[in-house]
Amino acid sequence: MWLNDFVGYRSAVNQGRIEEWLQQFAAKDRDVAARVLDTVDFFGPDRIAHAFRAGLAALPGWHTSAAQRTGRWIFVQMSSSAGDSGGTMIHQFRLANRMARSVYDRMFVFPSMLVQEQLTADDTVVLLDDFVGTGEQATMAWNLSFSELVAGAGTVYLMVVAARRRGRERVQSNTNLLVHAAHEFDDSDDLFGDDCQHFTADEKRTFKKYCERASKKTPAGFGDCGLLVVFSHRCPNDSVAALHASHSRWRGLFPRND
Amino acid sequence: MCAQEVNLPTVPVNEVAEPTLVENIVTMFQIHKLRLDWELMPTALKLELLMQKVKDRSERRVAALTGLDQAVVVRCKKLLSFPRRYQELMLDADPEKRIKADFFIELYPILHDRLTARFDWFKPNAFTDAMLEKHESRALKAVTEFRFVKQQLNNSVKANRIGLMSRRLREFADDPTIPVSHLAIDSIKTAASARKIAKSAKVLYDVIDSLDPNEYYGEGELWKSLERLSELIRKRLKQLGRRIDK
Repeated sequence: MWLNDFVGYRSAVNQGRIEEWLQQFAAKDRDVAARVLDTVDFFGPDRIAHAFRAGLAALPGWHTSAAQRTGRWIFVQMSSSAGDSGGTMIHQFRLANRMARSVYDRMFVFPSMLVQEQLTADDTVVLLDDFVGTGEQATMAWNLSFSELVAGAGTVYLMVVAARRRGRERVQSNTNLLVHAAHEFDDSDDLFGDDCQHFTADEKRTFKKYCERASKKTPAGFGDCGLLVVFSHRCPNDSVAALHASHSRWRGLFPRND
Repeated sequence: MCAQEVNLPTVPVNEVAEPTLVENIVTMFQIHKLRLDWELMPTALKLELLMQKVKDRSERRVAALTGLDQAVVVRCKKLLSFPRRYQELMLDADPEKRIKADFFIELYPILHDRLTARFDWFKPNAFTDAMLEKHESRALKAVTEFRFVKQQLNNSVKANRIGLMSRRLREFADDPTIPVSHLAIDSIKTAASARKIAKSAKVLYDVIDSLDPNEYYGEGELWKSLERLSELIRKRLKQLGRRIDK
């Protein structure tokens, strides 16, 4: 079942890799580990495409026909290195919204091209990324550069596939970004939090031991989010360390780097 | 409503012309001068647009127009000289992937060095990629290590060891694990001299630091000497491309 669930992850998740991951747990703890895998929220290409389709359709003023749109619409990837989540996001976004043809190229720009667009109050900029966890990265990027790059634009959205509610609220209260997330996670999605009903307190303690082995510094993931979220192109670092951390003492099932 | 209440037949309006793009950008720079500094890359991109619109790339005039320090304009122009894919790296939202502008500013003198331009194997973009790889693998400890590279390039000319420098620089670029010390072709004399000057500078610094201006108020020759020294230090730092407005 897991093989079907996790198909398409950037590094192969096969029977051998799953068994290898489970073997890192003591025999008595493997049931908890297996249930953690059952609870992983995996976003494959189809789910991501659906999120972007629904997301764009929901934005006020957007229309597939240029004549019926309000102002210019510009789509920008927030992270731009080759093979990263931003590049992947823009590609998936274009496919999902049937905007892959070259006629739409003009609407998709890199961050460094935004200033040349000479944005006005009639224009809408949509920044694309996969995930908002703590909201720190988006807030910092806004303060460091994006607020200046999009200066003049009437509306600026940050469209992501999924977000933590707390992270979304943080971004919205600290920036001028309107965050649109197709999926939202709340405190009950924090594996180690009191609100999480999937596991008992004992099970949480047991699993946390292994997360601490995977990462002493951030066992519950960046910002203590405690999430079990995995995207097919990369596992966010806000997810628990046992899923993605990889070093000599631990090998995550969803490594973030090759 | 106010006009109606005071029985005015017409509403007096102060009509202000819509600001031009140039006026808008200049106003933004002036506002930012009084607030937090921008990151350098967004500033550079705004400057690029401004320079296009006013059709003037003079650092002195652009600095005067925007209120930016001329040294900042120079740094921005250096960043603009890099291809777009490198500019994107400075703007990346992901802090793990973002490369600081200082990396490219320190690298710039090597890419535009008269000696490297003579090496037939040297390609600026390929060298930049190699340095980024070195930066990622932490073989490059600090971006200021590029100053050491530049020093070795300069000294290799003086020491007539250009061939050796070319070979070592190529090895340095080709292997991400090779540290900057691989390029050291300075004579022992240069290193010893640098240490001696640094030591003398520290002694002089301590003397001037403890000097009470009131006590030496009338010692005109002393102040003239310090002025000359200050000017010379600023001149040398400027030659080095160091910021002297700190």
